[in-house]
Amino acid sequence: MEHEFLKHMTTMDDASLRDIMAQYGSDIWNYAYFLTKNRELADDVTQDVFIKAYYRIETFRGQSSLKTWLLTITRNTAFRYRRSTFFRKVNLFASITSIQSGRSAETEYMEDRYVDDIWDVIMKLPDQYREVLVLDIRYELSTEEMAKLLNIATGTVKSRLHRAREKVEQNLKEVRS
Amino acid sequence: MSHDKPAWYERARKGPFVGNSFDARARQAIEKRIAGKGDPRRRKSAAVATWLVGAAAVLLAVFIVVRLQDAVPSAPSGNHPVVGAGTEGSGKNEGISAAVVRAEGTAETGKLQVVPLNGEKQETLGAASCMGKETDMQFQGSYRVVYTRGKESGVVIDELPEMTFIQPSADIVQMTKLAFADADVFLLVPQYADCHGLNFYAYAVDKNGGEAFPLSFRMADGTESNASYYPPGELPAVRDGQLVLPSGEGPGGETANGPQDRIFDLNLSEKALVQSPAAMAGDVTGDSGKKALTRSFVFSGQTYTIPYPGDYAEYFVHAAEANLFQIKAGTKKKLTSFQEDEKGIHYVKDGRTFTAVPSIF
Repeated sequence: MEHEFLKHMTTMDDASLRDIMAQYGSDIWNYAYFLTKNRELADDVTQDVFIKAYYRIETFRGQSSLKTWLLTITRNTAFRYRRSTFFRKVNLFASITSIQSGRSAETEYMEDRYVDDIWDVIMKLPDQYREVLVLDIRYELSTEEMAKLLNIATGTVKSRLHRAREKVEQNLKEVRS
Repeated sequence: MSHDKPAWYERARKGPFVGNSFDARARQAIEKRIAGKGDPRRRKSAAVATWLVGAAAVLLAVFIVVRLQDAVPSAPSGNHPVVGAGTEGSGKNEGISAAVVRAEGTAETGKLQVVPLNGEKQETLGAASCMGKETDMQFQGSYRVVYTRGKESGVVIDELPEMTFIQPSADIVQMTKLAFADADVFLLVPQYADCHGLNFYAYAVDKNGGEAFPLSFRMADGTESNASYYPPGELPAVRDGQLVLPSGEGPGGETANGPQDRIFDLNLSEKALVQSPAAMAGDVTGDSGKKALTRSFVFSGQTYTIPYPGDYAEYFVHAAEANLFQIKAGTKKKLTSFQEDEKGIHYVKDGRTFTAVPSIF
């Protein structure tokens, strides 16, 4: 298992941080986006995730993979951000910028397009269905890993995944017709 | 996991966006924050903006709560008619209801109510399934949990976006009330039936201060969640001052040690239900094959251990690394809440004492 040595660390060095950001950064950002549906929030959540991982590496005990551990931190962080979203929705000051600042209008348009229309459908799913679906498609977690991450029964994972796929297929049929 | 993946799975393997949203600029921003070299102008303007936004949000919340109080019906019974229900048809009624109370729980000091944020979509289930009977009602929307003390205005203590309630009728769902020594804990169970596990949220009403807040579930493996679950037909209970959640283990999810109840301690200062790291319930030998989680630190050549998780555990380790134990009580240093005796090192916080005991090898 890659990065297994991290479970023995009590503090993280900068090289290890750069290494895990390079390997898992996109996964974490995408998961944060799947949960929050907001690019700026995804930026903030991702920053917090790696900062927490850096300062609290000693809490990683190797009981799960590093990826699952990071996804768990992402989920918890996203929920905390969503709880305080009420205060974040009103953005009165242009000086509050995300790490995506400085993009040209053209770059912004290109980068904000979904790579496939399937994402229009998936991102419109209710939270609980979207979450298990992306964990299955993108992160290839087992049912047991998902149940642990989401703190639900394994049977519930299977039910939600089944319903999520049904909803996507139904929406795809409606679009085609 | 099923190997019969739909064809459209391949379309979702990439993306969601064309570009890479986590690029070198993003990584540098993180490294700068860690190095403490973040943009001070951004921090200052963010702090000012947050303060002003917070003030505006408080005013807006008060305005919304006042309007909600006007909208919430005050009928004494639990029967609240749904306004704007759809027409009778083939067994699937649809309609958008006005503001109603979807669930409630009554404490000695006040009342918790779950209300839709912008109305809710209502329909009958239409077909029997694990979720319920075909005549059961399904409500979908985003909800708020409002706590009202006496004649005071209600306070929003939680938001529940994109929720689905499935209940036998449109009656107000009564939250399950569990009595602890220092608080009443209310369980909100949106869906009354499931073949596998019933998801629920927990809210505490502090008996001492009358404050209400949502509880998070802090698991023994370090994970945390705002919800948990229990098997249908096996209700959570309070035993010896602890919350006991029956095992959700079922076909396909069996563990080597067999069904294990999950035991939680109510920690009001942390606003959490903390899973006990001690021996699992039902394991009479005290040796379930899983070691209780502990953290260790070394001070003056002696290794001490303390149960984990818990913020105080982190603090012990921090204090040991920073050699704070060497500081005697009575100095000007603030971090001097430690006392040492033959039993170990004790840390006093909020009237409670946490002890790191010497490890014996």
